[in-house]
Amino acid sequence: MENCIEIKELNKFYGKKKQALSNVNLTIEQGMFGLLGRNGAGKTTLMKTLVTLLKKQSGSISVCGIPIENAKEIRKIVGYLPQDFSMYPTMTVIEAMDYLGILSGIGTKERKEHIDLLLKKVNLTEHKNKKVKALSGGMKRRLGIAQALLNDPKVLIVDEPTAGLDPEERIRFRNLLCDVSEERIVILSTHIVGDIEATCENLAILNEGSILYCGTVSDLLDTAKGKVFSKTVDKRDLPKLKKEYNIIGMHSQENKTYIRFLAEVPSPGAESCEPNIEDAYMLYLWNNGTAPILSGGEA
Amino acid sequence: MLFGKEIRKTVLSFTFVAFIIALLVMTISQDVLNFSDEAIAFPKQGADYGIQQKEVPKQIMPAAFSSLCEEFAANEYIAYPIGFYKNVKLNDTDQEKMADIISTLSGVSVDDLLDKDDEVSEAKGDIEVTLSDDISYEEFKACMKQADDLIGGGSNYSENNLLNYSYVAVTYEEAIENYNLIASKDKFTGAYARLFCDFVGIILSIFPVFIAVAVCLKDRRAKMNELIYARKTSSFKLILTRYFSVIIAVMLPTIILAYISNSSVWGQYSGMSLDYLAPLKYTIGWLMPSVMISAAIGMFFTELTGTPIAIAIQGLWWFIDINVGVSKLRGVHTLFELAPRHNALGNTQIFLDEFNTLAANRLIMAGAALLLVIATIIIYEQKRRGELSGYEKIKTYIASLANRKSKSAA
Ligand SMILES: Nc1ncnc2c1ncn2[C@@H]1O[C@H](COP(=O)(O)OP(=O)(O)OP(=O)(O)O)[C@@H](O)[C@H]1O
Ligand SMILES: [Mg+2]
Repeated sequence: MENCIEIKELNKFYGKKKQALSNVNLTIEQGMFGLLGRNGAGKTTLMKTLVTLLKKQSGSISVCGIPIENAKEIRKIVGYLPQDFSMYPTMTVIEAMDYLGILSGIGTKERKEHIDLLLKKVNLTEHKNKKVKALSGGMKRRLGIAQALLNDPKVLIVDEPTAGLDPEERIRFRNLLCDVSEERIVILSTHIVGDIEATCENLAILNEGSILYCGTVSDLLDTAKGKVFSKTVDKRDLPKLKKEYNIIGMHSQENKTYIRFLAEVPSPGAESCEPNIEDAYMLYLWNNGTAPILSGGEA
Repeated sequence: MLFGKEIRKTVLSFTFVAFIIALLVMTISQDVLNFSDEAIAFPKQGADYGIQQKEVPKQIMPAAFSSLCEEFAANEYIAYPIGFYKNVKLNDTDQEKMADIISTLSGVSVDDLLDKDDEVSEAKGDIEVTLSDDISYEEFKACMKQADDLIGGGSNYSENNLLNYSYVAVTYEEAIENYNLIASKDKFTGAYARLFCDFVGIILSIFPVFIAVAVCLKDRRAKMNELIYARKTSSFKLILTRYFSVIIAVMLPTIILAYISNSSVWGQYSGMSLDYLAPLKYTIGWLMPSVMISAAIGMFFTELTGTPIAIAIQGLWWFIDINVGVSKLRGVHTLFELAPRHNALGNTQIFLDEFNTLAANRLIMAGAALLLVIATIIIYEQKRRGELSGYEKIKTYIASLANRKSKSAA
């Protein structure tokens, strides 16, 4: 109760028609929690609702025992890194942090120490006198994490923090998140399966506003066991096969193509293979009748 | 803490620098930053004490009447309905009503008057149109009011403008009385502070709107809105702090300039009792309400619409107010004026006569400003909670209006 987020029968509409979240039920406990879903799934909507920036239409949410309606108390214990954000471009890194620290109500002395510590943690100490507009995308994102941690929140909510980062920076960012996830609830949204794989124990799959799956990563993998196959086929047969199978990956060599596909029952000539999270994710989308159509690009 | 940050943010902006420049240009060009060559001395006997407007019926009645006859004959009436020059031409029925008024005042029949209108040149010599002797000043004023209404207001015959027909020389006794009022009521410094406020009020009624709009748009431009929304600080504290940091940022340099201006004459009144607080009293009492309302309009409409539309709204009000103000330069006031005028050094009696209206006006402006700030806080909190309904509707409505306008312009 004290250290978890409980979401019950949550519904959110934009305007009268657009339902962005429907009957969402989730319990999120301490540690890293991944929220997986493609563009428009409702990840940002759910996160903004959790940080009191959006009002729900129905359902109930409690964050560490505090009902979401009590925005003032919620804001004290959550840190939020929005999907698309920046800071006053002409302020330096340290000035921007100081300003946001004041808005979080942190006393002068404590603020100074805390900001130093956080900047060290996100590796920005040597850039602390740089103007925000002079930061690279990766640095800005790290500054984003630092500002979200200013009030030492019990709940950290980060919205697609790894989008647009290079592989090295992405790995560094994941490690940073794992670092700070001790003794906190960290919710990470992403449409990049690798992020979840590397960091989370629990995850939820969100699609068109509904939760398709919620549980541990290993349970998710179990559900996909025996449903992922691979096969080497002739390149000329590809168009036909695309209609037959639910292809989730392929790569070609000369005129042979290696394909990976989902199926409920084994098919002749295909080898069963060990599922990864991406496979399981695709399987859920597929079962839900909303499997993405692979347009036949050859990897 | 937050206050210091907000002040810093406000001051370190282009709009604020522009404001300081405008303030300096205004005060220097209008000669109100240095009064050292405008000492107010005890009047010497036999000197020229200048002229003053005074309600002398004997002067006003014939002058206004003959002006009206001329304008009537040409059917061209000059008016400044909202401060702008306008040449009014009356239609036949209204012109007939005007003839009626002139007939009442002169005893000449309406028919004769209208005939005269047909053959302007010949008739002029024929019929003598003069003001009847038995018209009292009260009757005359009533007729002038009718004439003014026909013209549409702001004509030469409005109650205020009738005084323009009556300039009389200031007598020695009056000059002494003026001097004594300045010495006793204004303690000299008040008179200078008033003239300073007269000009500076023009700037301070418009510039705060730019500064406030910039402050409110800054978060969104910097994509920083959500970082701030999600924080602990209440909307009440944040908006109020931002509002008062705009007010302080504008008022501090103003007060400093007011003292620079005022202290330039202190040396000339050695041994007399001066009110050294006059610049402070006047800047706060006279100027600050204008700053408050201008900044409040800026914040309110910017938070409401997310656009700089407040600049257009305040700009329009300011433009009209300044033009209307031209007819009140001598120091008369109205309840809803934005920038009170008092374009004279001294004129203390008018100031005292008009003081209650001025005070009521300033209280109304300050009160309205605070109400707008409270409304801004409510809107900000709603936006912050994602409660978009009302606000979103207004925004789309304004957007659709703007669309329609740009379409019709194309
Ligand atoms: N302000 C809004 N008004 C109307 N519809 C909206 C609004 N914001 C989002 N939506 C719609 O709600 C749905 C969910 O959007 P949301 O931004 O939560 O998705 P997301 O999972 O964060 O997507 P992405 O991965 O692209 O960030 C989308 O269909 C989107 O078009
Ligand atoms: Mg999103």
